[in-house]
Amino acid sequence: MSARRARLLVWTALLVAMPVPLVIVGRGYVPVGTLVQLAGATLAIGVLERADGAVGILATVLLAQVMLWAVVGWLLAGLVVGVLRGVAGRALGGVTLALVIIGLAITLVLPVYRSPFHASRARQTLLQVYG
Amino acid sequence: MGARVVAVLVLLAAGTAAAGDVRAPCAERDPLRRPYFGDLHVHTALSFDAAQQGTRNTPRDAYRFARGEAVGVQPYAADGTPLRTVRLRRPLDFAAVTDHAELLGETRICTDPSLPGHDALVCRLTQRWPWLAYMLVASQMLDVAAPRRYGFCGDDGAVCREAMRGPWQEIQTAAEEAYDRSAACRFTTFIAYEWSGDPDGHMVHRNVIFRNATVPPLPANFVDDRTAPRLWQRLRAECIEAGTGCDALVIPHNANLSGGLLFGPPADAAEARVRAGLEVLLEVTQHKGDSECRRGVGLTDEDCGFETLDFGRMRESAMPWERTDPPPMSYAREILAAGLAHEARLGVNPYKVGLVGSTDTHLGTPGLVDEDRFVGHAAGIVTSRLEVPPLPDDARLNPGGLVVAWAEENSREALFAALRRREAYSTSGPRLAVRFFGGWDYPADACERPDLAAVGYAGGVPMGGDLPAAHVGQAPMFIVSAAADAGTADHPGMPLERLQIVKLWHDGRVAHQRVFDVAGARGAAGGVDPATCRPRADGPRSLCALWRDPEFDAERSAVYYARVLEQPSCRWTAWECLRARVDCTRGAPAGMEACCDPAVPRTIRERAVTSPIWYAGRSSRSGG
Repeated sequence: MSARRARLLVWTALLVAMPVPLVIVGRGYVPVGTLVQLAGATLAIGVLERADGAVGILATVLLAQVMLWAVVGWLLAGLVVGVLRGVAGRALGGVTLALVIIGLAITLVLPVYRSPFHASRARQTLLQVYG
Repeated sequence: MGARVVAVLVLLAAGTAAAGDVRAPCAERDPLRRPYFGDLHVHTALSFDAAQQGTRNTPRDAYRFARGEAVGVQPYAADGTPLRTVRLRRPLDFAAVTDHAELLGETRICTDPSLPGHDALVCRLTQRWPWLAYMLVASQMLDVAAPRRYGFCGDDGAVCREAMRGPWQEIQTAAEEAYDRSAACRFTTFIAYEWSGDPDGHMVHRNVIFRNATVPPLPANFVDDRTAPRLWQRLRAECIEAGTGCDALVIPHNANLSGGLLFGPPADAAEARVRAGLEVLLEVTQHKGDSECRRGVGLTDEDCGFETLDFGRMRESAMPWERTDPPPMSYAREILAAGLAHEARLGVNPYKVGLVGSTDTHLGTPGLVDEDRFVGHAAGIVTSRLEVPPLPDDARLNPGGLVVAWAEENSREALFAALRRREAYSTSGPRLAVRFFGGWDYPADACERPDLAAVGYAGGVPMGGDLPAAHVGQAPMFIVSAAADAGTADHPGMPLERLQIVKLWHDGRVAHQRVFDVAGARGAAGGVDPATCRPRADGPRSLCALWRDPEFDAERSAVYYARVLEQPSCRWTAWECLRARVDCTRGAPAGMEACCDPAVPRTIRERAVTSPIWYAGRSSRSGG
């Protein structure tokens, strides 16, 4: 696996699973993917129903956070892959994949997320936070 | 005086024996009236915002709670078990569930899979991300000048209007079931709803309270009737003038968050008369801040900082960059004084309102006002829907208050009549018993008389009334008498600190106000130790004063009301900080920053504010 592909893999995993602080009404830690979901739902209301009220500000705040964490994630992924390349050398692909799988496994088992937007649970696992 | 007392008693007894709902006569009836404590501002799961906050209590649950039963509140476990249970220390005497009329149908559609529209995008949002729906839908339907119904309501909104019938019937049924029609007369309910307009975020909300079980087929709502005059018109057409026996009164609230729009100038004398006939009370004490008065508007009254919000619109609590100061006409004193100016111009006072309190709970828990047991009211941006935050509510908000009505008995007829004649007042929670009479010739020993109430009625008018024409050369006299809240064995009430009389008048150009301390003294011994919330010492359990206005001008109209202050006690935030053992020398834990914020008071002076007594100056009486 090339370093670029490894970075893309880590970046995608970070966007899907890395808990980031939620900067909006309410406290929490959610994956960037959840922010995308919330922004998408807000925009859907804005497009399919109407765009008045808090649609504009909520969509802006959510999308700004998505973009911020996308950039931070990309930089972080570069850092991680740089370290892995030094440690693993030619086994970069396997080590990266293993790391991503371990990370995802942890988030699938442990309720590491805390989304005030969730319908029924205060703390969620990876599947629950998207579910 | 004795013959006059007897005559007044006979009149009082006769005047309240009007026929109403079919019910057994009350076994206990006091012609000199008793204070009945209630809550006329209660939201349940039928209100959209409450439902998205995780509230599951129904109107029936709310009335059970008001009568003294325990109910669960959010958060709930996966199996539906509530993780918190609350119960009143003392049951209420009366209550009204006032769910938001707006979105009543939409909320039902989104929670009932059998109804058309249940699969609409907005409903899916409420099911998938209730907190996001809370922010989006409330901002689109409750926070704009011209709300439009969502697509799933149909082109003319008929689908959602039709869906309103279910919850409206549920509200009526719950009120009818909980009303004690036996001779015990333990508990009274009123069928009610809230008309909730928020043009540009300025609250012009009003609770509509019905006298009996005869009510309109559907509640009026801000989506269909977007101005207060339209609401009044609908109420007159569908209720008061419908010839069905229906009767209603309207209680505006949160003038503090209205941008001055709650009491906009009347278009003409006719509109002023309609308003004066319907809007006889103003809720000045409640969860989202106090609306009696504030500092800084030509006013140095140091007791006006009580539970005053530092923003002018509710949305600013979440968006501080939009913060505005409340403009004039946002507090009762400004409103009452302006009413005198309108009366001089139009011949009718459109703002002749008594002053009451309530909670505005969104948990379905009427009367839950104890500072030491506050669990939040789920009406703002802090939510306990999934878990209880370190502070259960926004530190700027408060548990709200109660409405107290002086009535002969605990029945709909008697209580509604008391509310209509404004013989009612507000407390910030404690059950203070306050009498306020105005007249021209009270005996000097009125306060020592065991028949103080009879003397008060015989020699003048109670709170909410109009002083008769001035006697030449005389100034009006006022009796204000207050008894401290006895409290309960585990939580005794605080002693009293002061009695005050507030006088308001208008010179045609600007409003004036004076506050007179008439009994007790500020800083008298007592209060609590803010570090432990334990009372320091005892103090007066009752105070009484006979006061004559030393600055009376018979030509000039004036308004007088009484304010009763308890000795300082711990605010709800202080109780929470104490329980969490917050040590501000080490810094506050996350979520409890308010504990160490000097802007958040540790103690408050709980209080009662009476409805006013009006004096019409000679120029006003002669039509000037």
